[in-house]
Amino acid sequence: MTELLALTERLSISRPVFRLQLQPNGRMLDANTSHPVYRYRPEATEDEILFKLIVRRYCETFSLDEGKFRISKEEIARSAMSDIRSSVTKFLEHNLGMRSPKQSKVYRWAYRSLPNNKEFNDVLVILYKYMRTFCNEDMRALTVENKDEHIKNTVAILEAMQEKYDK
Amino acid sequence: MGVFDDKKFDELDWISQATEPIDSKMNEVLGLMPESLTLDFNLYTKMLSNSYGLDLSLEKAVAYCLNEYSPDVNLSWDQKNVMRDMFEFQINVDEALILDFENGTLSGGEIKLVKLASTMDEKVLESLLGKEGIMAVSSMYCTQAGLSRANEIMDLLGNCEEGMRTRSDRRKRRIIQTRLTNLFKANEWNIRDTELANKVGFWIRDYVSSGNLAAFSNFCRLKVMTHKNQPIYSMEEVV
Repeated sequence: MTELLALTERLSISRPVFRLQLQPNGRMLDANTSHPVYRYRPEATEDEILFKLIVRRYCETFSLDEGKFRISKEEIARSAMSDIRSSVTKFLEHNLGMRSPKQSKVYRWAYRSLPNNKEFNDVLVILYKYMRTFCNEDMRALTVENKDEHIKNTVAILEAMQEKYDK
Repeated sequence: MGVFDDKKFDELDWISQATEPIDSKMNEVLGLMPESLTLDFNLYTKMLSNSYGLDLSLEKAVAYCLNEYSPDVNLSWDQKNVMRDMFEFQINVDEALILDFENGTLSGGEIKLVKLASTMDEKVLESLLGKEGIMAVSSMYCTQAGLSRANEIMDLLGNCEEGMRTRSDRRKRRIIQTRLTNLFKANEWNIRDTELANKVGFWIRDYVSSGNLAAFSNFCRLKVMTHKNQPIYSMEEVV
């Protein structure tokens, strides 16, 4: 979460300049706030795994009181963190190699009682970065060298985390 | 002056007495509104006050004007809709209209709010006759005594036999509303003042719900005046 919050500092906002259009019925002047003239959209390169999550969750809203766009960096980081947390169950579903992975102990822990505190989330961010070295965005393992070892490693890490934090 | 005299009608000039135009505060309000209003950045954002978005509808623009040029008059929802239809936006665009919050400007052309007519159309005003009052009848509640008072009202309104037979207050309410709607639509009582027409429903509600005798007296006076076969513009009310 700390790393995600730090990444949100790179974000900016669109300039509050809008194109007005009169609707064909002549009853409404339309200023499409979701398409300002100078629109800012964050971009992440292929290897910026965490920033990609931030970009996906980027959302700005126009405040008429302040006359400018605003974003909640905390909210964006929290949403990205939520994506990371749900990626754990996805990973187990796709890679555990069992007939019904949802019945496994580690899956049930990840699904129901994954701790939610700063220390644990920071660890999860590191684990997510590791998982993405051999998984795609949908958390399906890619055909890379030592793929099975990586999967075993990750499951072992998760089981160790369960043992440590599930008390 | 007698109790059943119509002062307003007597004061009208002979042309008005012959043509019987509908009198309404809507025309006064419309007269107070500007012929044309050029929108700059400040005015545009003022018109948006209390909005979440930046889209400016004709409703918002007209509501702003009503508040600014005729703050003491309270219009109903229907009246506001009618007022809205008396205006339109006219734009004159060079390239593109740009609303810039950084510099506080509205550039690239001109937007005007233009009044389309200086008086309301008679047909439009006719459609508004009694509408507010009819809505007020919806909030009328009937106690046991209220049910018989509702029957008295229906007796005076006429053509409400079905309503007088039923014991259901909801049906009575609906039948009174329907009767009033038809009555104003067919102009049976020849009421030519929208405010007076609106009072009919309020009097009915007050009398049926709480036995307000002043309201009943006003209703009866109006009913008596209808027998003169003259247009009705005003009446002496009991408060």
